[in-house]
This record gives sequence, C-alpha cells and structure tokens, in this order.
Amino acid sequence: MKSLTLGRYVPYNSPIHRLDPRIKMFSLIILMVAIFFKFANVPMNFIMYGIIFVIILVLMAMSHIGIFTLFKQLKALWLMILFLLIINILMPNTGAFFKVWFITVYFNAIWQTLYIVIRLILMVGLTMVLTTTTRPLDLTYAIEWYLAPLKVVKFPTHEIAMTISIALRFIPTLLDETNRIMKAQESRGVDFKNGKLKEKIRAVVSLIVPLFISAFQRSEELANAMEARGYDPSAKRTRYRVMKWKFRDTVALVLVLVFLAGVIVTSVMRLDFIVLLTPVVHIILGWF
Amino acid sequence: MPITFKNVSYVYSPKTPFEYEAIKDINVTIKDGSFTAIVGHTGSGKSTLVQHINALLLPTSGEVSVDDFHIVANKKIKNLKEIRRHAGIVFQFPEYQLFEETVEKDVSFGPKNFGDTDEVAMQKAHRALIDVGLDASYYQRSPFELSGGERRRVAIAGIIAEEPKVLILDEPTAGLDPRGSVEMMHLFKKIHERGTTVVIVTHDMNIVLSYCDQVIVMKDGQIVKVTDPITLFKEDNDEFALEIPLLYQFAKKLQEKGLAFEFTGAKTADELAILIHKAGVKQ
Amino acid sequence: MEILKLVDVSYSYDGKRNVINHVSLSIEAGKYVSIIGHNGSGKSTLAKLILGLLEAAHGTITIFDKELNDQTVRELRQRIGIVFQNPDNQFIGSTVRDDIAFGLENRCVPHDEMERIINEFAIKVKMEEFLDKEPSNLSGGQKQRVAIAGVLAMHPDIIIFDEATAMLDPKGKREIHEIAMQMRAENPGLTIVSITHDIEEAFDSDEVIVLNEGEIVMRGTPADVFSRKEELLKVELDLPFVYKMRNALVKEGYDVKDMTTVEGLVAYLCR
Repeated sequence: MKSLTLGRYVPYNSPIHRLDPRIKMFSLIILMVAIFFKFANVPMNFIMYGIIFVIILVLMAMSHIGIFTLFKQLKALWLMILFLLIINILMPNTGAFFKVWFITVYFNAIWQTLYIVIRLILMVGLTMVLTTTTRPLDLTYAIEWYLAPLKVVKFPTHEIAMTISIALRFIPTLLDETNRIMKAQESRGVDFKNGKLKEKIRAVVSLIVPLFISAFQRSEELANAMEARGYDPSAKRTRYRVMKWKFRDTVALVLVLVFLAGVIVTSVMRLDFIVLLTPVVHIILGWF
Repeated sequence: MPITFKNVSYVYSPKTPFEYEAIKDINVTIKDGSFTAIVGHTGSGKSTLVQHINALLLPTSGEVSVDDFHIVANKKIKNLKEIRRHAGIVFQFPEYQLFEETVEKDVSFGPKNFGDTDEVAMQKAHRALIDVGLDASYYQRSPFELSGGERRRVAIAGIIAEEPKVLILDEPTAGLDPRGSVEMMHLFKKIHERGTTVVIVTHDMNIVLSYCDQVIVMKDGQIVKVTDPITLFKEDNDEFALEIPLLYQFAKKLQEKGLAFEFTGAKTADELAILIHKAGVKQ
Repeated sequence: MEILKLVDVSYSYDGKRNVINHVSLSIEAGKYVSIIGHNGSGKSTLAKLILGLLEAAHGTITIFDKELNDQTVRELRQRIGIVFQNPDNQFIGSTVRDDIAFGLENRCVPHDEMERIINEFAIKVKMEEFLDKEPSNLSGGQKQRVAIAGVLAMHPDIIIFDEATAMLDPKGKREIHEIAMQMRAENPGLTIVSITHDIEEAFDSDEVIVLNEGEIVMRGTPADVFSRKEELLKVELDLPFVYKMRNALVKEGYDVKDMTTVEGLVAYLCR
C-alpha cells in the first residue's frame, strides 16, 4: 500500500500544477518521444540524455517534488535494471571489447544497456512530474478531451470517463472496506501473512468474495441513484468542471514543440556538440 | 478474570503525516461476566479500545490483560490465535463479511481456523445457528440469497460458534428495525447469562439502560466515567454528547417542573408510571 | 390536490411472491407523510416503483396527474428527489461540489449558474465549509446532507427519504431530521415522503401509512395510528415514547389518553 503514495497527487500551487492537464499530457508524450531518438555518437547520446535529465530536474523543482522521491520510486526497479545489464552484457555484439575472466564484454553492450536504463529513469521521472502535479480526475478530463473525436464512430468516451472518475472517487472507500473485512476475518482466526498455501488461498477468498459482493451491490445502488438524478449518458449535459486554456499553456506548448524540433534536427543532421563547440571553446580560451 | 487496561495508548500511522493518537493512557477494568457498554461520541476511541481486547490492535504503550493473556506494548505477542478465539468481535454490519458457499460452511469457518475438526466445527456451527434462530433449513443455503437480517444473524452465529469467553459487539443493532433490535439484544442477553462477558459499543442509550450493568464513557480518546447506567443517566452528561434515553429526559423534565418522586431507576415507561403514582402525584 | 396516486400496484422480485401486493394509496401535495414498516415490508420497493427504477407488474402510478410509464418517466423524475439509505452509494462526485453539480449537469443547467447554485444549497444544508472535501473525509450525516443539497438544487415537488437515516449515528439522524423539518417550514408546497422504520421520526408527520408484507394495514394521523398499539405490535412495530408513556400513565389511573406530546403529559402531571 505504501508504494501507492509515491507518484500520487500532492496538492500545491506550482507553475506546473497550474498548467492545463491537456498540455501536460501532450508534453509527456512529446518528451517521451524525444528520449527515443538516436544521436550522432555515444558521447552525444549521453549529452542529450543529460540535457533531458536536467529539464526533468528543473520541472521537478518547479513542481515542488523532492529529487529523492524519484530515487525512491526507482528502488523498485533496481533489480530489473541489474537483470537487464547482465543479460545485455552477455549477448554477442560488435565493436571494441575487453575481457573479464572468460567473459567478453563489448563496449556497445554497455552503452546500449546504459541507454535503456537511462531512458527508464527519464520516463519514470517524467511520469512522476505528471502524476504528482495533476489530479487523477483532471487527467481523466484530459483523456476524455483527447478521445472526443472518437465520438463520431460512437465510441463511448463520456461513459468511460464517467466510469473512471467514479472508480477514482471510490478508491479510498474501497481501501477502507478492505481494511474492515480483513479485520473481521482476522478476528475469526484468519492469518493473512503466514500459513500454508491452502490457508493463504482461503484467506484471500474470505477477503475477495465479500469485496466483490459489496461491489455489485454498490454499483446497483449507484446506478439507481444516478438514474434518479436524471443521468442519461446519451442525452445532452452541461459540464461543471471545464478546462480553460490559458496563455501559460500556449507558452508551454511552444517550448515543448521547439525542444522537439531541436531534438529532431540534432538527430537527423547528426550534429555533434563536441565537434561544434570545440572551436568555440578555443576562441573563448584564446581571449584570455 | 477481568479485562484490564493499564496505561494503554494507541497511535495510528506513527511517524507519518497522518499520525493520530486515538486513545491516551487508558486505565480501566471490565469485570468478568459483566455486560459492559462503551459509549461516547463518534471518534472518541471506542472501536480502537475494543480492538485491543482481541489483539487486532497492539498497544503502542501500556499493557492489556484478558484473563490469562497479556498483551504488552512492543513485546512480541504469543498465542495470538488463542486470544482471538477467547475474545470474538462482531463488527458493525457484519453481514458484509460472509463469503462461503453455504451458511453452515461460513459459520464453521471460525472454529475450523481455531483448530477444530470439521465435524466438531460443524456441530458448533449448528448450535450457534439455532441460538440465532435459524433452523436446519438454512444450513445448505447460500448466504447471499438470504435477507439482510438473516445474513446478519449468520455472521453473528459465526462468532458465537467459536464459543468465545468474551463477546465484543460493535453497534450490533445498527440498521435493524425495532423488532430486529429487540431480538438481537435478547440473543446477547441469553449468551451473557451463559457466563460470557459481553462488551457492547453503542450509541443507543436505551440498550445501555435495559441490558448493561457497567458503562464506560469515552471522550476524545480518554475514559471520562465508569459507572452503572442508572447513575449515569441521573447525572448531567451534556458534555459527553450522549443521547439520554427518552424515558430519562421525561423524568428530568418532570423533576425540573417541581414534581417530587423517588426515581429509583425505572427502566421502562410502565415502571416510571408506577413510581409517579407511588409518589402520590394526583390523577 | 392529489400529487401521487397508486392504484392496485403490485411488484414481485422473483415472480412468486408479491413484495408489493395490490397497494392503493394517494398523497396530497404539501403533506409530510411517513411510510413505516418493519424491514422487508416492501417500503424501499415502493420508493423505487415511484421513481420508475422498478416497473410495476400490475396497477398504475400517477404522479402530477400523469401516468408513470416509459415515455413519462424521465420527465416525472425531474420533479421528484430521493435520498437513499447508503450515504456512500449515492455520492457520485469526487468532492462535495462535484456531487451537487452532478444533478445540475444532468439537467443542463448553464455552466455560469452552477457555482451560485452549488453555494446556495451547500449553505442551506450547512456544508459550505466542506465544499472541496472528498467523501472519504465526511461522516455519514454529512454525506446525506450533501445528497439533500443535490436534491434541493433541483427544486423538486416531492422529496422521498428512503430510510435516509438508517445507517447514521444518533447525531446524524438528528441532523437529517432537522433539515427535513426546516425544508417543510420553508417550502409549504413541498411534499415530503419519509420511508422509515424509526418510529420517533414518524412522530411529527401529517400522516402515517403502515406497511406490512407489501400491503397497507393502517393509515391516519400519528395520533390515530399510534393509539392502535395491538395492531402495531402485530406488524412488528413499536410505539413512539410519548404513546408508551401515555399508555403506562393511563394504566396507573391518569386521565391522559388523548395526550400526544411530551409537553402535554408534563403539563398535566405537574398541574
């Protein structure tokens, strides 16, 4: 349960919090795409990843998220990263290599694994910025907005968005209910932590069945309540919560698109910053 | 042996932003074989307190003794299963915890968990079902096809079948109609008369008046009064936010208006009328 | 003026036993009517039939002079508000605001008016400090108050309380009852139907209808109905305290058999 608190929405009034959820979602996708571009050579890849990482750190600072939260989130993934590392390194590859004991370690393998790991860290960081600064409900509205065109082909966007928002509203309630049922069954001698496999299965059943039954009853009562209040998904309805696009959202959009353009250019034209900047550094040094 | 709380405190979610001390420095004894009520406003710590009796919650400081069992803060707990069998809790709206395919399977679930063989557990289950007023025709039925009231009785039978020495009830009459309430309390009275210590958490002062011999009043996580029901209602209890039984509100109104009569603890309207008559109030 | 009329209505869940059995009743506009009965007597089924959530197998239901059927149900629902028993299972919005807004959205209330209406009705139920709170941080009584605000915001002609206090603690019960009394005082034309098994709640209604096994067994003013002790006990109901006290005093020779209030009894005894 504790892991649910990482990446969870934290109310605050940061510039990122104030952005429209639609632009945040769009930016997330764009920046994720940027991560997957290939650049001129190995040092360039690391430089670009470094730039994106700095951008993420800036976003995190702006959103009032501590850097350590990112690493806590990643703690769960260290094992997988290590696993990836080992697998990749043992695979045959091309290019320069060195020998450790009887294992042949290719530099390319090391770089490729590092790319995967770094991309993972960047993606986790970006997602964290989104989920910590945006209410789940606002994300739902953004998804509904993006899926709106599908209404033309009769895709039930509104119903899905309504279902998601109700599910979100009930998460705390369901957690409370789970807790209560667990306590009731523990009072009857159930041990949720220890015991043989057969006992553990019984324990889980004694928790899941009541939760399901309760969920069915709940959904029926909810449906009745919604109908009684005049809910009709196919009819016209007005909206209380509306997303208002503000100037700062346009600014964010422009920045993100400019950044993407820069990334595309750097990749396609195989620019090498080191090569480009070396004469500049010489010139500056020459002045002193 | 009684149930004793010595300097017991409980803190929810310690060392987190949600840290909350639900009960503070509780010292109280629940007499063996008593029918004790625990009352107080919502959030006063009643549920937290009773969940210490069967070690669902372990005290963050202090010590709880239930007969021969001792639960000490920060000490590893032994015989957890024995404690749970010794003290059974019926939670509020217990009908929501049923899960087995048949009534008798659900009721025998507790005894089986505590080590009884299938036959012994089933015998206990059948006895418990008769106690709650459900005959053999219910044994093989699915709990989910029963009415709400019947399901509640099945759930309670599930705890009674464990034959606990202490029976803890958390608002057992919540949502029941008048008749259902009376039947439920009669059941608990029957169990109490067999020698079980009954502890009931309730808001219903009429129940406290009619069935209990000891009342523990809680406020803001602490115990503010331990007495018997009649003494409790005679005194002024506005600060404890208790709903005084209508009978006592009426008696108080009469006394306020100057009517002098010996209020020796009537429990029903009939008894009060007799007292009024005895006092010579003219007709 | 007759606002709600049932003629020979029957309903069965399983096709074998009628949960509502050939019930005929009519309710006049502006009245506060209590429908009482033990659990399982069919009370909540009646509420669902009136809202058109269940379809009567037999008989007709007429509301505002229109017969309730597939064509009229949506229109009629707009003028009826209902508060159900379970505070959680009728709370749809993620916050108090959103829940009150839900009904407004369904009714196509213009966006610009929503904020004002939400505030107005939150104040009416004394929940204005909780507008941005989530339901998991509210008590049962508070959630029911939000439900009432949502209902009132629709300006219904009939409000039905379907065991709305059954799952609340005494404080919550009192809060809801007070709001119902307040509504009654502020809106004389409003018809209130209170379905309950709590006998004290039925005490100050204009009329009491007693339901048992899906049939109406008694009907009249509280004074009428609660004087018929034997019949009430037979249908597993109790008497409000005042009537119990009155009967006890009468047994001891006090001439209070026509008293119907605590004040009346006290005044008589202390004269």
